[in-house]
Amino acid sequence: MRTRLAIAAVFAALMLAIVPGVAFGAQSTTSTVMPTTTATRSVSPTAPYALDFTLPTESKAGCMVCHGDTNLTRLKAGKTVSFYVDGEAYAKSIHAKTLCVGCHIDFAYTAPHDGTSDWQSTAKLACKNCHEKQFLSMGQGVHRRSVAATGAAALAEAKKPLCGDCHGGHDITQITDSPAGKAALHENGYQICGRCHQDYWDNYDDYYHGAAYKAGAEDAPACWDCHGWHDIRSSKDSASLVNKSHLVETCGTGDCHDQHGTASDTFIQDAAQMIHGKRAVRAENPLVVFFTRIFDGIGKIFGK
Amino acid sequence: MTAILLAEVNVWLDVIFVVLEILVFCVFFIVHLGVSIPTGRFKKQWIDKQWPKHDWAPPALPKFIHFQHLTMMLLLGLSGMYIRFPFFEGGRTPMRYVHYVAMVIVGLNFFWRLWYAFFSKERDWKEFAVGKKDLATLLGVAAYYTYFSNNKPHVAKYNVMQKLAYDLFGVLMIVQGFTGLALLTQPFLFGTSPREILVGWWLGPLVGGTAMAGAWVRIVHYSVNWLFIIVTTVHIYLAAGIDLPCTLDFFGIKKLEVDPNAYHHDHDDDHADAPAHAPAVAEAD
Repeated sequence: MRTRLAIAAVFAALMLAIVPGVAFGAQSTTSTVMPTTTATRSVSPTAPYALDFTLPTESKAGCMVCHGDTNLTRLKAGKTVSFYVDGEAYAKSIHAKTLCVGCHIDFAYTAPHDGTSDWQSTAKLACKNCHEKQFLSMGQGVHRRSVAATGAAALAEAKKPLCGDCHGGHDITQITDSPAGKAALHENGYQICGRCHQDYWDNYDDYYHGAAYKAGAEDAPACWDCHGWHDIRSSKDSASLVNKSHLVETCGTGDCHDQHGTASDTFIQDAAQMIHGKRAVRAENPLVVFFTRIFDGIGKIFGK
Repeated sequence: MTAILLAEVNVWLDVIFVVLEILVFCVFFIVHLGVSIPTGRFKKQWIDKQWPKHDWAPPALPKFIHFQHLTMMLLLGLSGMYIRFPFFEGGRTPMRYVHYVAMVIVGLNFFWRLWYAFFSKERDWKEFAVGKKDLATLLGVAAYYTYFSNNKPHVAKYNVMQKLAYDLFGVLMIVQGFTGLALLTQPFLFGTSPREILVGWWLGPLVGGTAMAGAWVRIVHYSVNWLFIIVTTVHIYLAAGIDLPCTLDFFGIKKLEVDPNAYHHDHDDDHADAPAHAPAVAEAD
């Protein structure tokens, strides 16, 4: 009798240990399997998708059921907005192993998604959860958003970039310890800075910096090489890298003008003005003005 | 010194040299060529085919050297202009290499030519030397080219203006080589760069540092580049317009007819003072 009881106890203990393990193991495996239910578009492009179940979120597969579809578009304020996520680009990104909800932290776990939250800003700011140092650094710069602003000031604040605006989203590349990532970033000056600072982008066209940069010169400086990045400041701020008081050290950094401290004050005062100033100087040159008027006059004669 | 001085100087140079090149082109290819019609020179040369005669044709080696020198100078001009005005995507590094390689070849050409002129068996430096006799003909040659006279004084293989132009090329090449090397900032000797060695120690203190000296040297380098372009424009016009057969021969298009008695009979053109012992005549400027 005692023997039978002992066998029964061992069996019961084994069952208690194994069954939940098998059950949970099965659950974790099934969570990464693509669901068999697919999202189907409802009759109106602005209406919610005909989908109503709890989405699996422990892998990307669940989200990609819908967002892997290139046709996933919605009409918003008269514009067709795509919600397609390029799975291949995502898989190649530095965040390939990060789950969707790692950045989309306000995701409601249900479909249709709640369209009222500012999910884009949330996603673009989610970087701070892992990259705290960079986020704190950004808080020191001119791109820091003031949450206390109201009215027109609040609108202006809302235009300031968040992490994702500069670094991109699903296809974000590795920068640290990655020459290829740095090279890819280096080429992206217009997307990162120029599209907001169009005037500075346009007048960044001196011979050996701006014009060369825009023509793809690898050794020509991108905006941030001089102006800094996360804690970027106005040039009027004495802490700015491009403030007059710091130009010598900024221009003498690395392989630029680091010839034994030859980036002297005199050189900097003259050369730095040319970097964003050549266009204005050219526009004011009397001969340029003269010939421009002549060519304009000829153009008018021929009706151009 | 205003803070924007460098930008202003550079923009002025861009504009002035472009205008100057256009003016030079128009003066020679439109005005000078145009005036040659009423003066009869155009008909004599282009219709009656009365080109200057030669008692000597350049052999293959000088022609080859001239041709590859021309190619290298074109590459230097093109790549140099690209470095300043990048006119297509992604060419900075390749164009710099083109510039360096062409510079080395032109440098070798130059030293070879110096050796040829002063130390070879032919040592022809005297043909480029401008003496009192040459200077005495300067006004006469200038008058011929400006249509004030039909008489072009000759005292040697090259006339005085040709000699001055060729000598100017040599001087410009020395200046261009020096200023070009002075633009290099990579450590070269005991950790110092060519810029520091060539200009940093003497020009630097005068203009406000080595980097500033480099900026002014770049301005000189760019200006001399334009002088090459302008002088070459004139050279092309005169070579083709004054002595087309010699130019065609130089490029292997048509062999030059050699007349051993080129200087022993009268020219319609009244080449005065052409000595009987003159080695050859190269009319092209």
